[in-house]
Amino acid sequence: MAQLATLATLLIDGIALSMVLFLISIGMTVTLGIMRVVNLAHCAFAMVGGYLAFALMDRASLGLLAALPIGVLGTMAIGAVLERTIYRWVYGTSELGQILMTIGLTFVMIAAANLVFGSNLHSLAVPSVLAGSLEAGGVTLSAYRAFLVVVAAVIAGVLWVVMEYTNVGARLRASVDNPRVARAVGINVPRVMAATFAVGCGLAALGGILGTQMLPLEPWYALKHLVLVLMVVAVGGLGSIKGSFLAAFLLGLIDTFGRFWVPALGAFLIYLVVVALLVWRPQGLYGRT
Amino acid sequence: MNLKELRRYTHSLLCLVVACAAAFSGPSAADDVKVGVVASFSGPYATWGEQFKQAIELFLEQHKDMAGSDKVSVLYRDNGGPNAQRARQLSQELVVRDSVPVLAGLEFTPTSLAVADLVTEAKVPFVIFNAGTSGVVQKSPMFVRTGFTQWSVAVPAAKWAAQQGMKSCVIVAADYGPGLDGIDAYTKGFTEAGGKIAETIKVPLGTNDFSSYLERVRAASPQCTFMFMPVGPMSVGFIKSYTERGLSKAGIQLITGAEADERDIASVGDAAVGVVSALHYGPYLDNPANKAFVSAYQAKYGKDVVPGIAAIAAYDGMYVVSQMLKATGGKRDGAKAIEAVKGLKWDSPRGPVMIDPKTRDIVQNIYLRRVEKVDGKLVNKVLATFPAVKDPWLEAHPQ
Repeated sequence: MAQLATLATLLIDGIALSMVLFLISIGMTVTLGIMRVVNLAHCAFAMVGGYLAFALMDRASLGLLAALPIGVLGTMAIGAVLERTIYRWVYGTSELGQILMTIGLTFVMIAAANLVFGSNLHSLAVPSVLAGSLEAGGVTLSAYRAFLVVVAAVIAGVLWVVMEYTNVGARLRASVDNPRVARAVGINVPRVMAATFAVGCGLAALGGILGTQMLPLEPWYALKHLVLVLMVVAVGGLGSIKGSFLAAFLLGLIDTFGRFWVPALGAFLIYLVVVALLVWRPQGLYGRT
Repeated sequence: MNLKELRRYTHSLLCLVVACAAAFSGPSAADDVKVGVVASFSGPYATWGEQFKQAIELFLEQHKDMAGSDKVSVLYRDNGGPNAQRARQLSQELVVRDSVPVLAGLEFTPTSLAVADLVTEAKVPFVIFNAGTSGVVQKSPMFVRTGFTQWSVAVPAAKWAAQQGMKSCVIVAADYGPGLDGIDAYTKGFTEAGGKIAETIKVPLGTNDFSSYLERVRAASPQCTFMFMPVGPMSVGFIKSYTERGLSKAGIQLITGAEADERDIASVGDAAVGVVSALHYGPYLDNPANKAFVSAYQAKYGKDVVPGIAAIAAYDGMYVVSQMLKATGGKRDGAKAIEAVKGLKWDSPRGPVMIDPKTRDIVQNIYLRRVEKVDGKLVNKVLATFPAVKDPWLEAHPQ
């Protein structure tokens, strides 16, 4: 029975990590797979969101739930401004140029974060309602992680509905599948792209803010966790939201259970799995060929 | 003016300049004894250098005549973190260019090892304030250490756990040199006292999320968890999630060492209440020397500032330095200085201490403490005292 309780706890932990990874990765999946832009600065937007919320909580003494929407909207605004200014150039350059420019942007953001917030690690204080653990039938769950799972599930659901059943989703899919024809039927493709970019940044910020318990804020956040995000995008398949969801799920669970069952190998297991998966399906789980 | 005259003028002018220079730097330079201190005053470990400096300045203020009639001044050199190469270079400059009779400072094992050859060859004593690996003092006859080692706190911690009737414990340690040291020390201490280590979990350095490891601890259902993490983000994160996940409530006692320093548990918050630790110093130790030290420290630096293990290491380190200078009259004489402090005993704020004549390491009390909340502050309350603890590793591995 104790075994079962442990498994349940690990399952929630794993899913919570998966959800944070999913939220941060989704924007990158879209920009990389759909807009064909290699945006290595994507993870930095998760950091920007986290630091915005941190500043609001630390200096304006807001609670996490109050700081969350402001942090997300602020990051979206910053993302939109950067998209209209810097990323316009990035779109036009070669793939190598895109990599260099976005990694350069990442370094600028790292240096700025270091300057403003220092090199210490920060995790955002969990609101008292969500602190502590829930106990049900011998199973101990972290209340905050349970909350995280619910939030991410709702977001994933909303994204899915928007993409599949709304006009906005249809426009985005059209812009992606065939930008020429989309333009011909009157879709403002650049505007769709800009909006998508900003929403991607906002989702990354959401993941960044909610996930500080697992991925604490620090200036090197933008590069440190970029590897995980790239793995989710690559395993899921470029451009596939469904793929990202599945990949984040898989990697989050493997990481959590791997550290439990084989602690000695725990930190590496996830990389072995990624290599195996990509050898089996180089284009990712749901990638287009 | 002919050439001969010009030469005479120049000559006398030169004499004047030299005389002036000598006059200005005169008496103070001749009698000034300079002590070189190498430590991290910037970078992520700047809190060490900052505390060292505070304690040194306080000591100098309290002991104006520490080297007889000579005035002692300290040359601070910033090592910026665990940079072995830089520690060596800075120490060399202090020895060669500034001709210091004594060196002091440092906070890490690798930086201490890096200066070993240098000080042995130059015969300049180095008072190491902190380096957690036992064997460091064996690397040079010029080394004296006033900090603490992983072995010296882990073995008493393990013994205490066994005395409380705990039979089965888990070790969770960061997977790097000092962590492995901690694992060996806890294992030896606990098994020799009749306990059994149910499981040893090594956590990769830089881990932020301890959930899986803590579930593994829970699944092993031990009576206590011995923890060793680098003090800072990892130790803070571990203690926090240990409590949040209800492991303390489940009756699994968390036992640590330096991770429960008052300066660090402040950032853990209330989750730290109940944590047991073994350590050689805490600002709330109840003895006259400590009360005087803490009140002087707070009078100088503010009433919310508490001296931590770095401050006490430097404060006692400076006492050792002062005794060395007294013995040599402020001159450089490594052999004489080291002989003078072998077996040196004094009443430190941490309790009675001695420099072991055999190992040149400090012999000190180790206190078993539990974190409690007193007047809104997190405070370590002493539960038991292990008097005059010699480093067990050095005892088992004599030179």
